[in-house]
Amino acid sequence: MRVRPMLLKAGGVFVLLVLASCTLSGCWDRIEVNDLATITAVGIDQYSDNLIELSLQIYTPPQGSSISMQGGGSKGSSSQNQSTVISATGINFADAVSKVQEKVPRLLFWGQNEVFVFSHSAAKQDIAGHMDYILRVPQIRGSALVFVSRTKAKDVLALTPQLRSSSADVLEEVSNLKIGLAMSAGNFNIMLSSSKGTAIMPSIEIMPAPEGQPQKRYPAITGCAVFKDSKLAGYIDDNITRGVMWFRNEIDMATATIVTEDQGGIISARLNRGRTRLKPRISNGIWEMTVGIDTREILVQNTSNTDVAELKGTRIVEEGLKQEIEKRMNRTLQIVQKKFEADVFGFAEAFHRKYPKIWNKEKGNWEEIFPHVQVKYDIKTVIVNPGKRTVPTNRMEGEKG
Amino acid sequence: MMEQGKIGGVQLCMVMYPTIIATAILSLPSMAAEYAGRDMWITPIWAFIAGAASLLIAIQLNKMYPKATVIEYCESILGKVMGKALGFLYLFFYIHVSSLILKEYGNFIIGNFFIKTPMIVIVASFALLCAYTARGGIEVVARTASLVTPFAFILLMSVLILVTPELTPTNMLPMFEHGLMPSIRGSLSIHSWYSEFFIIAFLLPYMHNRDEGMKAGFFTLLAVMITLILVNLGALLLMGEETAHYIYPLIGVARTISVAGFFQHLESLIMVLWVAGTFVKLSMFLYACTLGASQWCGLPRYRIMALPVGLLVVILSQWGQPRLQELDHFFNTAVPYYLLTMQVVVPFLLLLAALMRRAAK
Amino acid sequence: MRLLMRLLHKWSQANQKNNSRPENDKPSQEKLTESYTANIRMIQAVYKQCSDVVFRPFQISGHINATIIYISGLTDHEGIGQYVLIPLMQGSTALDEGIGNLVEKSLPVSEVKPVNTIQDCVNHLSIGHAVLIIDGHRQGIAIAITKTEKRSVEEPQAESVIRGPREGFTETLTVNLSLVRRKIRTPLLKTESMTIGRYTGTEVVLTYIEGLVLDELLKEVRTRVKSIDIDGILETSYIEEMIEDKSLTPFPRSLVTERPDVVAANLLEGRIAIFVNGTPFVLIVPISFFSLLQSPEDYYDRYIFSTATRWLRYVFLAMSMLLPSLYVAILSYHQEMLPASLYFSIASSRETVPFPAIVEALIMEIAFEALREAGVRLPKQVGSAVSIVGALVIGQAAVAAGIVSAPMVMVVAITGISSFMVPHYAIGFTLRIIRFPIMLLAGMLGLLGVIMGILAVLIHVCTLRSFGVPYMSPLATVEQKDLKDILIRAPWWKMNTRPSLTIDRNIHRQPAARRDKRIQDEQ
Repeated sequence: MRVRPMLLKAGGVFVLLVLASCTLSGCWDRIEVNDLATITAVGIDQYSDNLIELSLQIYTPPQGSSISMQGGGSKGSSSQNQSTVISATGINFADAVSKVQEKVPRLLFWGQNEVFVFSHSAAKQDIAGHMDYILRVPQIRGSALVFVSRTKAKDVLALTPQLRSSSADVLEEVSNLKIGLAMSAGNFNIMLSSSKGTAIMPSIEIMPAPEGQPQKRYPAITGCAVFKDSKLAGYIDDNITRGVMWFRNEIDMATATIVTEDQGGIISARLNRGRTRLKPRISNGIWEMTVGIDTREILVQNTSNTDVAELKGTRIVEEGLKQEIEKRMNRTLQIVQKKFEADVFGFAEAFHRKYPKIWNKEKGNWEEIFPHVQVKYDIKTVIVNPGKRTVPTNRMEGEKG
Repeated sequence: MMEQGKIGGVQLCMVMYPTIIATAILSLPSMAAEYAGRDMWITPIWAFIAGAASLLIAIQLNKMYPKATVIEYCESILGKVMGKALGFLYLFFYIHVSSLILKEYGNFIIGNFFIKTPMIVIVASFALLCAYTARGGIEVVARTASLVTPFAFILLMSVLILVTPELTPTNMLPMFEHGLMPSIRGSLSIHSWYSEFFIIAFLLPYMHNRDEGMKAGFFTLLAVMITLILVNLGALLLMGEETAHYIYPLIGVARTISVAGFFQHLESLIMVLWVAGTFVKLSMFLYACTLGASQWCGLPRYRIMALPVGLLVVILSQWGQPRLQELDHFFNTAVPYYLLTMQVVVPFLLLLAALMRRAAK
Repeated sequence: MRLLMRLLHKWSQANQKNNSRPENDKPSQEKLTESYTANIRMIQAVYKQCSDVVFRPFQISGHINATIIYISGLTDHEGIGQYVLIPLMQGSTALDEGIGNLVEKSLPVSEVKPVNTIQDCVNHLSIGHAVLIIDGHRQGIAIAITKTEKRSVEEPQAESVIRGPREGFTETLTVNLSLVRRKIRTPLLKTESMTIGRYTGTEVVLTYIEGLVLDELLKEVRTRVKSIDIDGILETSYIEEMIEDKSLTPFPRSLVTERPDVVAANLLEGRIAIFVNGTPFVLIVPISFFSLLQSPEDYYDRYIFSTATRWLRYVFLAMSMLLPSLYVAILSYHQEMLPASLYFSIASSRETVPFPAIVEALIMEIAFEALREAGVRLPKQVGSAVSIVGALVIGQAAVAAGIVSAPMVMVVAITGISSFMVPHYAIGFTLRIIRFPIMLLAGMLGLLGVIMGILAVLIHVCTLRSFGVPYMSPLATVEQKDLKDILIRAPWWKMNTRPSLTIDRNIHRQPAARRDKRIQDEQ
């Protein structure tokens, strides 16, 4: 057909035009890695009553030629810090972000950010508002970790620690070790929304520098901050936090030390595996929670006369550990349940699951019920192995236990 | 016969599976969670009814008119005038739904990944791709689906498997605390997706073997149901009732994947998976539109209609308000009834009419 | 004025004569006559200005004139002397009973044919036979006494294997056919010969196994080959391009191989092999995409090893198409996908590079392709040294100069290596070419562009057919049985059936313990 070649030609020209316009007008979302300001940590301070100060820790790649043929990468050669901190104030998070962008010659890139640090005062003011920005903007990762700092967040960001490349890195890796609580923004928000503003977040402090290196101060996780009504209510220390982790079934690393009464001396055991189960019970209007704990422990140090290689000795130690754990948890309850009256353990969920009908009736009164929930313990500690040695090292030749 | 190609049972599965779930896995969990809360995982089971209904009706109609698609047997059943009118209605329906798919595709890509790119570029290029496939005919649609679907399936399963360490199984409990009603209410939108099974009416006439088609259809229905349950479970066990507050829960799920500290930040894989699935879906729909349009107009070949129909769908998708909320609102309220009517109720009436006709003879 | 017109007219007529159908320069269909001198003169007229055509007059038994005509270089001179001239000159034959008697009694040559026309003479002379014209006889005798220079059978350069036969085809058709005959001894192996090419007169042979090949397929191939009307066939590629299904695609739809065992295996699966005289490359039709991805070693090594190699090959194939595009897409659009440490090291290494990722990728890829192509032309001794050293040094130098970044060199190197995983050159080239549009798409639309590129290629490939066989079978078709040879390499005791698309009747290779139901052919 005569029409066909003409149509083909016209079509070809059209396609060419389209292609040209696509490529000539630039690719809209393309951005080079060098044109990005990679954010590695975010700090939120309260500047004044109605202004917040947003600080961004931005990665600065080493300038000049870092391409070496000798096989060393640019990263390996320097463990020196490669970030700068830029701050700006604004009415809220979104406003502050736009103000910071004005100060930075590259586009702010949130994709690699894993750390948010709220200062004490910012957390006291309004944590839920900040959470909204974090969880609403698509580029910001909801799985990033959140922390409360007792001092200014800006200072935390500006630290240049020794063992890692930036303070953000330190916080990330320490959270991974699970020594303290690790809370992501998404989970924090779930806690906030499902319990009307009660939540918990790890808190950090700036540790003093090691001897002789005054520049190398570093942040460390020292306990948790408790929130009520979406506002910072108070802090709990390291040990109490450990107790909270027991309740939440998040315990991973813990060392318990007991003093044996009859034999004298101290025995320490490290947790290998621990599991907590919450068993709620409502009877005659009394709300009870039995906390069932299963642990496996490994002995790490024995300076008493107890011979743990023998079953008798093991049983004694296990009993001691059991009581130690119970003590710790009671201490936690004292503070969190009685003083703060904050259900960060997940008791509400447990009751809801088991007694849905009663829960639905009473859930409005949970605030009053929670402080009076009676907690019982059902702890099983098992020492699976006594380490590499049997008898304590302080036992002399010929002595018997 | 316009369409010379023939497909087999396995290919039918490969085509129908993404056709149903591609758009569903994205926003379904949040829609279901809105009404059903913790029971959202069971909603796909209720919606099975709609799927089975439309499948059965399509098969029955195909048994009576083995070589005809919907547009064609409308005329046979209802006579020239009414038949043409109903055929036109179906045509319009399918073109409209195609444009809705395209719109949702555009919104998803632009909202989450390519913020500055103009919508028309994304949407038009995609529609061009699907129209090109539809132009090749049923065999090309089926073949590309056979290549793309296993890949998308494996990707989806990997995402769900990789996220298991982060799941909290107790999020499911307590079950049915408010009875069955919330989950049934939440399943309404899913019913409408399942009813898209009716598009199988465009595939059944071209099968080697119709029994194979029936078996494949039911197998696909089952597979779709299981997949949706798994996806819902994944979202529920990860985010609990917060799922309802996310527009695209699956992205949230993918965000939390972190394997060996290396495989992280994989939400772009969701995009890959979704583009692959939507590609098959839109190709199938465009094929149905193209074939239907040519059959309605009485053309000898349908190839030539592919690109114009594609263009029409692109334009249609750009009408209306550009707000995502409008689209969501539409999906939540009118769409279930719209889809259910056209894909279950009307075919059912058609079937009745056909039966009556046959009885009258 | 009139003179001018006449000159123009003559000139256009002369032109037309040149463009006219070249039937005119074919020697006439004239028959040989009784006149001895006339015959000789006619043949001499045809071979005017051909210095390598020898006319050797002599006398049979001392009294009959005869001339033996041959093309030196194509015929065996000694043979002519020994088996033709000596017996005829020295023997005492009577030609009263005719030429047949002469042939029977005096010519100890295995193949002898009578010739009647000048055309016949020419045909025989051109393939190296000698033609004997005898005074007083209307017929001539064509004597097959050829001896040409030929290459010996060696291992094919491009398709060497570790385990398996090391024979490769040569340029001589008869040798090639013999190599295949040695492997398939049944008389059901048919070799249909035809001559194609107006000037070259190339012999083209279609081989197939009767009973395995589909009749329609055979008819179609035969028709297409016969309908080729071209001035010369020098290589199978001429035929390949002329008989392919018409479609604009970079994907080859026939397999080209130098190995007799590959040809034999494909013949056993019901395919047709086309041999062309003068080239060691044999064409096999019809094929699917996956035939192009198989190497003969797949069938000679153990099945587990072959399966693993196959999968490795598929993975690297995908990589060779997609790695640069993924690199560009992730670096330009989806930077959050990189793990943190990788991200920072790439970011710092890109600080000094002035180009955006897509430009850098294009530069490097094009440079690499140029290097590869140039490496083919280099003489053997210099070639390997230059390619290795060149690549390394150039890569290093480019990185040091700050033109490209080190990760990019890595990407290009890996891509290059993966593209060598493909056993057949033709398809490797196709995949390399496809890489570029996908890279451009990646630069425009990131990962979405890559997906769309892949989908576009997939759609295109799904629309292709090779002589009616869908190109992507058996992965994308009705029969799942054939997957045993694609996704894995099933052990030989499991390979019970032949690929169903080219076979209609004879589907079973070996008796299975339990015969499968007859499967139907896809149309």
